[in-house]
Amino acid sequence: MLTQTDEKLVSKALTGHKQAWIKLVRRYEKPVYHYALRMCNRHEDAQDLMQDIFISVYRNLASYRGEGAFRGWLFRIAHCRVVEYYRRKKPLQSIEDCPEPELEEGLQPESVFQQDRQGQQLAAAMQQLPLAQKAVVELKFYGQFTCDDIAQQLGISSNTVKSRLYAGLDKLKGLLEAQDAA
Amino acid sequence: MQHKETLFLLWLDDQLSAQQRKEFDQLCATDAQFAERVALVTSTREDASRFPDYQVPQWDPGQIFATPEKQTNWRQHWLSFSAMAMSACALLLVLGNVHIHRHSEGMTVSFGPNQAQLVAQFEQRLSDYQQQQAQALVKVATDLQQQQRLTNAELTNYLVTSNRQERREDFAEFLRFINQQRSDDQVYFARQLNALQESLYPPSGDYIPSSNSTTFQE
Repeated sequence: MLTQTDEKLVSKALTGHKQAWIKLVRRYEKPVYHYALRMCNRHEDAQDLMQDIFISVYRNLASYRGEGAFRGWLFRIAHCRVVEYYRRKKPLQSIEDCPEPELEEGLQPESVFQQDRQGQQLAAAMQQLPLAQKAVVELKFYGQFTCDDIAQQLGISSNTVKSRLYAGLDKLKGLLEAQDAA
Repeated sequence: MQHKETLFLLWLDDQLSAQQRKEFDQLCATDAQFAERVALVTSTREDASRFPDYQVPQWDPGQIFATPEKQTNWRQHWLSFSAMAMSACALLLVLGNVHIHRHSEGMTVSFGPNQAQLVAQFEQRLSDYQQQQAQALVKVATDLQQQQRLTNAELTNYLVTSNRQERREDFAEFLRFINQQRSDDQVYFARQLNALQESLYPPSGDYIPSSNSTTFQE
């Protein structure tokens, strides 16, 4: 069975083909949902964020010209929505240095990720990183984008990506060692 | 150091060539710090690859598709209708030759010829009026000239007539004066002659003037 390319599905969706749009969403909903979950650390918020991301994708679908991979374009929009999410949570704090958004004391729900469960240690440690480093680590290790792709998606230089990645890795190393020690 | 960094980044992006792979492996074997960094990335990658397969909650992506489309259609229709209405309105305004004038007392909506046509009409009427005025002026000037000529002729006649009359009267007066003068002279000369006669012939009792003697009369 032949698989339709993303570009083909986008062009069909733009002509009003609803099934093509649904197919495109189904193809990427899980990576986007996981991305949202790792970035906001709550299932409910992740679901809202995922829907926001796809609404933005649909609204901007006509502006996608197929110059780069659709996946990269999709995650660029996803990053913008995440920044908006953090801005809503902490309107007076710099986004670059913003760590995991917290609710008021007493309302803090239990984290989605358990430090002692396999495959969740990294995600749990990532919640302690500032948003700028977290976004780079997320796109590098979960999104498996190259440094140049990440730079393009985040609208920063490759050198900034590298420095944020190294800083994030150093911090993660400390956090993971602390988890292991505990 | 620079080369080490480059190799690490190429490895990070899975873009190492065979030769670079060898150098990379050598570096891992000889450089403990480098190897530690590589190990951290490797373990991070492994941990990332073991991320639990959370199921996406049920939702309907078709709702996203339907809502904006309806909105777009409505906008398109609204735009079409408003564009059509505006076009019809503009057409009526043009065909009806509608003019909206704004002045200090408010606004005036007028139907009919436009400002340029009004100006042309005004100028035409002004030109006609100017021609009429010029013709009337020429007629008045001609009449005035003729009147002046008649007046001049009458004045000349009057002057000539009165002059002639005066001259006649002057001559008459002059003649009267001459006659009077002559009469006076005659009287004067008569007296002179009488005086001379008396001086020549003194008056006495014995003197009897001859009958043929002459007495000068005035």
